[in-house]
Amino acid sequence: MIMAQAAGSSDIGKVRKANEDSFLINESIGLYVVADGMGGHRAGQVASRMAVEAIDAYMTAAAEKNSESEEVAVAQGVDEATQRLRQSITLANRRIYKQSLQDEACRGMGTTVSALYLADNTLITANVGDSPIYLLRNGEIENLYTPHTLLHERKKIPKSMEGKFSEGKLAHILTRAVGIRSEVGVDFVETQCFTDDIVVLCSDGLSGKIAPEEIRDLVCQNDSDAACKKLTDLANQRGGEDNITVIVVRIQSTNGDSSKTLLGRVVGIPAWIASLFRSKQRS
Amino acid sequence: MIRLLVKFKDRTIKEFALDRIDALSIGRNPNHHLVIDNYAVSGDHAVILKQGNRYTLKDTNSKNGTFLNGLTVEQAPLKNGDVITIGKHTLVFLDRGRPRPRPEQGGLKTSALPGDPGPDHTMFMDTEVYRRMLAESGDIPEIKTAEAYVAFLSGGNGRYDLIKSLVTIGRTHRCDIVIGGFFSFLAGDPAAAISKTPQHHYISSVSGWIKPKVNGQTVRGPIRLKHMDIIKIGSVVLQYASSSQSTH
Repeated sequence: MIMAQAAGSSDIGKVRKANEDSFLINESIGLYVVADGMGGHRAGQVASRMAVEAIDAYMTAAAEKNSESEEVAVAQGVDEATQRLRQSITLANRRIYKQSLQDEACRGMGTTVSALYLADNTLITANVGDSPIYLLRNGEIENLYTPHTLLHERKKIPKSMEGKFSEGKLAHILTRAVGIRSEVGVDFVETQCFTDDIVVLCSDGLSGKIAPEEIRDLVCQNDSDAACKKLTDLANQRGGEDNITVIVVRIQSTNGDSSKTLLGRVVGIPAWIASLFRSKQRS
Repeated sequence: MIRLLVKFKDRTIKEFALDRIDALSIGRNPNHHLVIDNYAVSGDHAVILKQGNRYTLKDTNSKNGTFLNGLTVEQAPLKNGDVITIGKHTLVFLDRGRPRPRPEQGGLKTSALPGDPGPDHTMFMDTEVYRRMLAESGDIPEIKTAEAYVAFLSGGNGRYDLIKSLVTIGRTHRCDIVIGGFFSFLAGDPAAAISKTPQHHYISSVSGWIKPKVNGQTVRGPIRLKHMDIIKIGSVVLQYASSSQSTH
């Protein structure tokens, strides 16, 4: 079981008339989601909220089902957790897509989804779109997501189209989003979780204004709540053209360091002797 | 001319002309047209069928699935520029002979939003058009992965590729890398683990009295590995090498 403490906030920014971002902090099951909606009028807001609600409902139901049958809970591995996260995003995609077909006002709506799920001493992240997920460890910051924008997939732009768009434009053209098509491709990262790791999920309203190194410094120097506030304020000071959403998750303890007792090691000696013979046979 | 390129690690290793083939079978068994000898590939994995002048990709109950442009498929028609992923191999379907619908004027078509989205608004690009453009340019997307391995300097031979998300080092054969030698009973099971993030590898101490050392420094929390770092655990000495870091 991973113990984590989290804070999150969402701000409309200084220019937009509506906040199209949604976020979720569900500490009981260790699920954190940021969704950045898009589409005209209020459709972006609808899409991001639908995504967050669908993912939350699915993952909560799955966690409950798991804790009912205890044997399953023990056997529950990382693969299964990742599968569940994939299914929850697929479900969100299907619901938003269906809604966008039914409702004229919602036509073409979609949303990015960036999610963090803590399971079995592992950080599992899933993302569709360009909402960043950062890992802060040992005072360094790195990405736990794959940006699905033309800027990052520039290699995929044909020669004939080169130079047609500025870098700023490319960064805002998504190649994937939740709810646009009947199917969605999700990218996952699974990595071992350590005590004192910090994961930051945000929308591009924040990452577009503040460099990763600045995020790292602000999050390391403040507690989670203060860091969220300071990051939001800074993004607003620098223009605040987009909605600003940020979640800071601090890992407080993991049961990864299951340091075995002496007894455990003595019991392990037969296995050790067997391993010696096996290595002899090989050489 | 309808072709199927077989790609592995950025290189085209095989090419099939599909015009005269009614069915192209893919799998690990040697009786297939395209044999991919990899444990991620099932004995009978998939088949590409020609029906009239159309081509269909069909998964033949493979264990790990057949991916078309990143999504699992059971059966799907193939279009020019489609990218099929089977295990670690990429198959590219190219159909250049026939006329195709032209991309919409203006090239990039973004999903229509009511009103003009400002420069800071996020847009979604229509993947259909995008894939077509892609196919025309002949520029096929490659999935780049950071390749890294540890090479044995002592306590073993050869190298161990760091592909799994968690590689364990310890006393018994339950671990990926086994520590031998007389004092190995002091090592944990596992003693250390190398974990992976998209861009880096981290080594951490797990249990036991033998602690791993990186460049002479004892590891306690997770330590990010750098190209050419020396890892020592008991009798095992490993050198970490990463292709993404060695270039700069």
